[in-house]
Parts: sequence; C-alpha cells; structure tokens
Amino acid sequence: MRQRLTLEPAPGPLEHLPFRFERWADGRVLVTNMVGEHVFLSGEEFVALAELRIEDPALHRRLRAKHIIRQRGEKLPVELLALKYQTQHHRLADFTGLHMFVVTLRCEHSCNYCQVSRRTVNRTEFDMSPDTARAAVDAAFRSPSPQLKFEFQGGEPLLNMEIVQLVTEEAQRRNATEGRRLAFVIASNLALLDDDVLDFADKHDVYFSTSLDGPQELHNRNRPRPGRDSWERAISGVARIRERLGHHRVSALMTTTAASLGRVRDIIDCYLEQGFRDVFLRPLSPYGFALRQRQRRGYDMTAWIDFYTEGMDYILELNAQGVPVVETYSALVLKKMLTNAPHGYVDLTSPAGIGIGALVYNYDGAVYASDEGRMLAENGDTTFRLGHLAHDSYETLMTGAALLDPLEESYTGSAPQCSDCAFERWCGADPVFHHATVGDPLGRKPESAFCRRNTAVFRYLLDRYAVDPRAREIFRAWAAR
Amino acid sequence: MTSLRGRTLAATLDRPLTRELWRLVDAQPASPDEAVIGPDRIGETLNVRRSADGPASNAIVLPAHLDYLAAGDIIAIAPAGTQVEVLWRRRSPHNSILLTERCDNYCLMCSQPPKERDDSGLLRRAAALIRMLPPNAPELGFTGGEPTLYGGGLVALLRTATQCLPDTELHLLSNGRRFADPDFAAEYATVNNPRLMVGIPVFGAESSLHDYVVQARGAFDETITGILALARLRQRVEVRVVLQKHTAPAIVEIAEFIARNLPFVEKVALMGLEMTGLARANLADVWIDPYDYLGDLAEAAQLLKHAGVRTNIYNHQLCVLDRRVWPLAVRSISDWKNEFLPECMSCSVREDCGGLFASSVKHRYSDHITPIFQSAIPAPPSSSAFSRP
Amino acid sequence: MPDPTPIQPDAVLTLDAVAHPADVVQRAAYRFSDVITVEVCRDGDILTCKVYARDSNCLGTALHDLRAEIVDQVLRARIRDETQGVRNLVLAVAFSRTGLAGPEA
Repeated sequence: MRQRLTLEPAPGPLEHLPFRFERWADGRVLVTNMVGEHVFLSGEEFVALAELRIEDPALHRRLRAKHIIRQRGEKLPVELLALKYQTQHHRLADFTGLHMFVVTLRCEHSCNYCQVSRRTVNRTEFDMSPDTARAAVDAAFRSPSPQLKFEFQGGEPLLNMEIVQLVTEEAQRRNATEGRRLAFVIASNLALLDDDVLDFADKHDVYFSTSLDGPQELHNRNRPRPGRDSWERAISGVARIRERLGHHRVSALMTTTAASLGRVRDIIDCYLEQGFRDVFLRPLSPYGFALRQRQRRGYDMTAWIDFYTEGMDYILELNAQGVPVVETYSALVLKKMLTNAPHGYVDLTSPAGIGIGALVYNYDGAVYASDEGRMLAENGDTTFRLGHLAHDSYETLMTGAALLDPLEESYTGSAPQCSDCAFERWCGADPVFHHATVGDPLGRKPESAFCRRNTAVFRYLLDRYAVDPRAREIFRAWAAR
Repeated sequence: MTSLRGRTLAATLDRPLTRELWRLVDAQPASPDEAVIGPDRIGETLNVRRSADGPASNAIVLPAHLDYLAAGDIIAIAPAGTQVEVLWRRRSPHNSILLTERCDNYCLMCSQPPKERDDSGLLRRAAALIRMLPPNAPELGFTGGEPTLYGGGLVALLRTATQCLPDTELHLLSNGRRFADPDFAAEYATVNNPRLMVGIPVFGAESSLHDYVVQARGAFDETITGILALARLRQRVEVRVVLQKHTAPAIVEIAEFIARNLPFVEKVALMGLEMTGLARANLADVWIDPYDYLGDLAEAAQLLKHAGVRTNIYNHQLCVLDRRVWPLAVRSISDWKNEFLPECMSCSVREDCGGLFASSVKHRYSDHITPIFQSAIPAPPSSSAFSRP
Repeated sequence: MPDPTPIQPDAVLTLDAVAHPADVVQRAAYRFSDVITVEVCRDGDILTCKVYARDSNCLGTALHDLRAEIVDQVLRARIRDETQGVRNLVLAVAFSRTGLAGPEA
C-alpha cells in the first residue's frame, strides 16, 4: 500500500539562499533574492526567515518558490537561480549597442537647460567631418553587438544632414557583410524638418525622437528660439512624420524643469492630446547649462518625487479608464523587477552603461563614454573622454583607465550600501552623474540624488503592486514591452 | 479521450479474427485491414453492423452506445468478436492513443488511475494503429499512465509516427520525470520532429505542493529538471496545470514560477477537473468550485500572457470565468462529451461555451452555473479564439 | 601641520566588538552619513563609536536609527557569510555554459 504523502514539507534542515532586505515604515519587510524577485513579509515572518524557524507551511512554500530558502543541499534552486542570473547578464557580452553621433553643435534653439554648448547656426567648424564620421562608423562596427543603434544628436542634427546621410549609408554598406540589426534615430527639435529629410528617413527606415516638455507655454518658455514657436514646430513636425512614415516613427521626451513641477497632469494630457502613449517623467539633469547659470533653476529631489508620484497616480487612473498610457522609466524598472529580460537602457545598469553599453562620437572626433560625459567636457571636465578617433585605437579607447576605473568603482555589487541594498538588482551605476554632482564615480548613497530618485520609484511601484490588483496587471503589461 | 469500448451484441464469425485492428469503410474494402460498416454486406470481408441492423454471417453487431461509428474510424476487435474498442475517430479533432496504464506518479485527481501490470501490448498496438492512420490526420495524442516508462520503446514509436505522419501534430502527455535523465532526453530529441510537443503537468511552485498533489516524493525536482533538459535540447514543451482544491489557491504563485523560471515553454494549459477516476473517488480531497478561484485564475492567466507565454483555459464554463479571460477559454470538451444544464438554455453565449463534462453533470459541478444575458456582455471574443487545444 | 583642536563627539556608543564587528558598524553608520559621521575604534573587546551630528536636532533619532541599523547589519553579515558558498555556486553554474540559447528566457 502506498504511503500517503501529506502537505507538510519534507523533513530536513533548511538553508538560506542569498537574499537582501529593507524595512518598510509599516513594519513589513521587503525581501529580494539573488535575481531580484521580491516578496513582502510581515515582521514575524521575517524573523522566522532570519532564524530559519519556519513553522507555517504556506510561508515555507512562498519562500521556497521565490528561491529565498532551500532544503539543505537542494540542487534545483541553484540551477534555476543560475539560469535566471545568466539570462539577466547574457547581453553584457554583446557589448556596445548604442552609438551616438554628435554631428554638429549648431542649433537654432536656446533651451535654458541645454547641456550642449550653443553655437549660432552658421559656424560650420562645429560640424562633424566626413573623415571623422567614417572613422566613427568603423569604431561602431568594432563592437560585437548583434544590434547597433545609431543615434544622431547635436546641437540640432538636421543642421548637418550631409553627415547624417553619410553615416547611415556607410553603416548600411558595411552591414551588407556584417549582418547586424541596425537602427537609426535622429534626436531633433523638428523645427527644420523638411521633405528632403522625410524622403531620406523613408528610404532608410530612420526614426525620430523629439523634445516635448508639455503644453505650449511651458515648452516654449523652456525652449526659446527665434519666432518663439518651438512647440508649434515640434507638433507640426510630429504630424508630418506620422503622416509620411507612420505613427510609431516618432517618440517624444520631456525635460523636467522647475516650471514643470506642479503641472504633471497638464504635461501628460498634452502628450495624450498629441497622440503619444509613452511619457518619460525625467528628473532634471545636473549637467551643462543648468549648472552654469547663475540663477539656479534646479530643485531638490523631493519636489521631483512628488511630481513623479502625482504623475504615476494620474497615469494609473487613466489606465483604469481605458487609456493605455505608459511611464517609460517605470516600465523599464518593472521589466527588471518582474522578468529576467535584459532591457538595454544604458543609464540604469550595473556595471554602468558607459562605453560598454553606449559610446559618443563627438563632432571633433573625440570619443566619450556617455552623452553626459561629453557634456561635462563641454564645460571643461574631460574625465570621461576616452580618446580621439584619429589618434587612438579601439583597444586604447576601450581599455584605458578613463573607462575601466569608473566602471569598477561604480559597480553596485561592491559599492558601499549598494552591495547590501535590497533594490540593487533593479538599480544601476551612474558614475558620470556622481562625478558631476559630488566629484567621484560612486558618490555617497545617503546623499545621492540618483539613489533618492530610484528608491522613490522602487517604493512607489512596489507599494502599488502589493495592494492594487489592477495596478499589478498594468505593471505586468508594462514589464512585457 | 478515454477509449470507448463495449461488448458486441452478437458475433457470427467464420473463424477467429487473425488481426486486431480494423478500419471501417462503407465501400468495397481495398485492403485486408478494412471492414464494412453498415447493414449491407459487400464482398466476403468482415461486416460491422449497428445495433439495429441485426446479426448476419461473418459479422459483429455493435452495442447501441457505439452506433456512432462510421467509415474512416478504426476499432480493435477481440479475436472472437465479443469485444470492440474504439481507437480512432476520423471526425474527431482530438484522437489519442493510450500507451500504458502504469505510472510513477499517483495524482490525487488522476483520470486514468495507475495499474501496475505489463501492458506493453498497448505499445505494439499503437505502432500498428499509426501505420493505418490517414496521413492528413491533423493531430494525434499519446497518453497513459506514463508513456516514458517505455524508455527507448516510446522513442521508437514516436519515430514511427514521425515517418508515417509527417504532417500530423503529435502531442505526448508525460509527467516529465524521465527527462531528468540526460541520456533519455537526448534520445527523445533525436526524433527531431518539429510537430512533436510534450505536455507536462506542474502542480506547485516548489516541491512540497507538487509532490503532494502527485503523491510522489522527488517528482517536482525531476519534472522541472526534465523540462529544463528538454528546453536545452530545443524540444517543444507545454505545461499543464489542473485546478483543484490544492493547486487553485496557489495558481498565481504557480503562474509566477512558470513565468520567471520556465518562460521558454511554448504554452500553458490551465485545466478544470474532470470527474472521473480518482477525482471522483477523492472528491472531497480535490473538489473546488471554479467560481471560488475565478479572480486568481484570471490573474494567473493574464500574468502568463504578459510574460509572453501562450496560455489557454480548458474545461471551464464561461459563467465561472472572469470575462477578461474569455478569449483564452477553449471549447475543449469534445463534441460527444459536452452537456448543458437546463439553466444553460437561456444563456446567450452557449454557442461559445464548452459546456460541462457528462461526468461533471453526474457527479459535481459549480454551484454558480448561470446564464449570461446579452445586455451584460461586452464585445464577444473572436471565434478564432475557440480553437482546438 | 599642527593637529586641529579636537572636537568633542555629540554622542559615544560603546558596543561589544565581537558581537558587532567594526565592518558591520561602519556599514550601518554609512547609511546615515548624511546626518551623522561616526568614528569607529576598537580596543580589545570594546568598540567605541564617536558620533558627530551635522544637525544636533536630529541626533536623538539618528542614534536610535543607528542602533537599529547595526542590528540589521549584523543580520546582513550573517546571511552574507552563510550564503557566500551557494552564491558562488550559482555564479559558477551561470557562467559555466551558454545555457538556454536564443529566446529572452
């Protein structure tokens, strides 16, 4: 006669698997495992876990299912954790996927937060030369990545379409023998969009990314240009791109300023009115002109956290009413929290995305580890300048101390506080931000605006996920994008 | 599909039958494995007559419950003509072959309770049956018991099926444990049939629940290890979860486990209980009203869907499912098994609903079967959602 | 260069050095480095923590939080030690082969 098994767990000692924890103000404890899966425990449940005196079979099952404990010597959890960990990291070997080409510094806007030196429209010595462009394409193809995204920036890239075209055509020519997946994006204010540009974009499957700070008066106040019609031109550019190329061929990014605070609903409404379904509630960056200006238009992270919270509450409300709008940064974080899928966002990874995720080829041939690193150089700080295309080999650029030191020092797995942090698997390293704000690649986490911002985002998402089944479903849908 | 069998009403054979399997035809038989079905004798070959046709020479008479048999169907007849077993119905989209009744699990709700005896005759019969099947058969299932207990014998059968029926979808049901043996998994992979998929049940997100439901210690470890081995060998896997008293309360956790640890599986089948075999015997131990887990089931299905895993719900009536997951519901209860209750007659979505198993109607079904009225329904799910499993 | 005039700490915590290793205490102190700085010195079995507050109004709360955090850091250190072996094992398995190739699994 068969021995009847019961629901009690098999006898035998339990062991901890690697986990981290963070206490919540209401007594709950967040526990995360080695690959960033999470569970909330009550105070008592956490004590039971810590002391491995788990009497409740349901708690036992929950903790084992989430690979926080195992039966001593149990092999399957190790196998599964290893698979998940490997999946999360396997894109690292692909190396640099994002290649940014600063084709000119010239721009006809004078945005008051601009992180790039402004030059008038006519000074062509701030344009990338054909030789530099070709050398940069060569460098891009040195990366083994199966996908290469070429992003054109400036200044205003439409002011140097000749080089945009050269790079695109050269990359496609090279790719005939390389077989990578190529993507091309122009980051433009669209004020100078014309049919020639659209023809070119149509022929080469080029996408556009534009700035939309919010409603007209907010946007135009942030982004002056001759004619004071930045917003109108952006909207009209978007319409033209959609009509000619398709709705999905243009995306929009906002920049948050002091003027944006308190107006998050208006901004989101503006995005919806203009047919966008993705909004990225960005914090103000600390670089470039924002710092140089005497009048500090900055604000502390507390105000931004309110901005984000109000914006997300509104977005969840809209979703409940059937309007499927997504907050881009939250979706990215949720992808990290809820899946093992690599996400490709270079500003929230550890090791940091500098160089190994993204490279910037400046108009003058200098190569930078990140967009922000280039902006620092425009303000006299060349810490993140890796070298120059004309003088330095790819090996020199990618193995010099300028890249390797900040990568190592900022690695969250070994950084103070990060290495213990329950959120670490979802977070990232930003050595350029910390260098710009506090002078070293790591910063001190209790004072780090980067840490404050991300912690606020994690907490908001975790709290909604835990208590609101509708938010949970929305978040799962976002994580799947 | 449980194989249907019966005792013949009469058997008037010239001599004992030398073959077991017969394809029914309604015209002159073209080969020695064919028998004419119907009241009119054609030639000298075996005649299979329906219950009302009455006996005749060199003929058997089917019992009334097998009168539905028609040309194209394949049956097994005992040598003396006294027993008939239905092995293949041409008109059914869901034919499957029972390979064995032996099993190394002992699921609380098993619809085919294990028997510990050598029934390898079934494997040989399966090979013979496969050779008689029409090459345009859309789908063929292999069930048990646990078919992998045959080891290399099963692999050989699958190879035969691959050769004889290259365009047929083959669906093997297995508890997956044997695939934890890397040599067996590798051997299985050599069949190399892109239309072959194995359906493997998972009843928990960790071993204590799963092992309890299947009543076998170590089963979860072997099953999951087996699934991983199959995935490494790029074999197609479907995970099946039967919702019963113990698994239903854990369904979201199980879905999370699949989404996070086994996201490569081709599909997940979330299945309602069939009231046969041990499910009936252990009713108190396994029954849960689907209405009580309606919300959790919807959350689990949506979770899997968002994780990119194709998910379907089987054996649930639409009135006990959250409307959001109606598009995932499959009318899986085969035509001659589904029944409706009197209250279903006024339901506006009855055409799209699979109804209930006859066994459920007889033994236990939800307390919440209620008709849905037209005004209450949002836009109906597209009919393409109601496809074969 | 002459030593600066020594500043008196705003509070001093005395802990058992065996139960509260210096590394653990420093990790705890780090979390509050925006409100307090802590100098840790060990003398045999005694660990002395000199606490300097940036803002004396926050001192009471900061000390309480610091003590609670030290307890948590002791636990973190224990978990780290206990699980270091299996963590290394997971990493070794993760990078020992290509694993499930292809899909975003």
